[in-house]
Amino acid sequence: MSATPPEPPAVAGYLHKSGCPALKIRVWGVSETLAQEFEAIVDTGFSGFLSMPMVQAFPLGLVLFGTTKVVLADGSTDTKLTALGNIGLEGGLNKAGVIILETNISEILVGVDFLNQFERSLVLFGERAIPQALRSSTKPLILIDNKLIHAVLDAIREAAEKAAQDKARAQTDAAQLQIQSAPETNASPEADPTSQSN
Amino acid sequence: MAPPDPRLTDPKAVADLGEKIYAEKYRETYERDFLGQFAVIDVTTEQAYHAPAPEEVIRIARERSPQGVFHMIRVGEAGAFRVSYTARAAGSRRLSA
Repeated sequence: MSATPPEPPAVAGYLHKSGCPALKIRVWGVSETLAQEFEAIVDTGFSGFLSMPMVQAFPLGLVLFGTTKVVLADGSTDTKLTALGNIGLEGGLNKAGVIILETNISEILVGVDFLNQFERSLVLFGERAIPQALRSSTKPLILIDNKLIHAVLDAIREAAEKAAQDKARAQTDAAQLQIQSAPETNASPEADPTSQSN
Repeated sequence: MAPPDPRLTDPKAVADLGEKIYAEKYRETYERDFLGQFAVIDVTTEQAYHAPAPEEVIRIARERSPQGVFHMIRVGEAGAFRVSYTARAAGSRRLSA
C-alpha cells in the first residue's frame, strides 16, 4: 500500500491582470476524468467555496443540488442554482464543496469557504512588500497550510510570554536592588550602645 | 415516478417555496437553536435539515431525501452566501421565470 504523499506546505498563486490575487484550479464533478483547469480569482468578499459561470460548468459533470439565495454587495439578494463539485490544487490537494452557478458573472471565484476547506491561510504581498532583490523569486500570493500558521503563532505567543516574564523578573530584581541600596534610617541613641551623648 | 410539482417550474419558484416553508415551519426554532448554521429545505416534503457546514448539510439531506429538491438557507442571514458584486454588475437577467 503506497503512503499518502504529504500535502505541500504552500501553494503559490499570482496576480491576475486585473490586479486581484488568482490561482490555477481544476474543477470536476462525478469523475475526475472530466476535470478542467481554470483561472480562479481569490475573492475574500465571497463567503462560499466556488462560484463559476454555468456554461463553463456544463462539461464538468457537477451534481446539481438545488437553489440558494446570495446576498449581493448592495444588500439585495439573488437566487442561484447550486451544485456539488471538487476543486483540485497543485500537489494533489482536493476538496469538495458547494458550487454556485452564475448566469451573468464571467469570472470564476473562490471564497472564504475555499480557504476553510483547504485549511489554508492567504498571504498576499503588495507590490512594495517584496524587496527588489527578491521579486523574481517570491510569489505575490501564497496559500499556506494552517498547521504552519499555527506553529508560527505558537512561537510568537511563546516568545511574547517569555519576554513578559523576563520583563517582570527584571522589574522585581530592580526593586530588590533599590531596597538593598537604600540608606539605613537613623536609630535612636538609647538603642545604639556605641553612641555617646554629650 | 410521481408527476412533477407544478409549483416547481423554475429555480426561483423552488427558492421562494423553500423560503416560505422555512419561514412558516422552521425559522423561529432554527434561529433560536442553530443560528449561523446552514439549513436545507426539501420543498417536496417540507422537511428541513441543518449542519454547521454547507457540504455537511447537503450530505445529510441527500442521504435522507434522495429524491429531494432542495433550497439552502443560512440561519439568521438573508442569503446562504455573500458575494462582492452588486445587482447592477449582475445585470437584469436574473434567475427567474
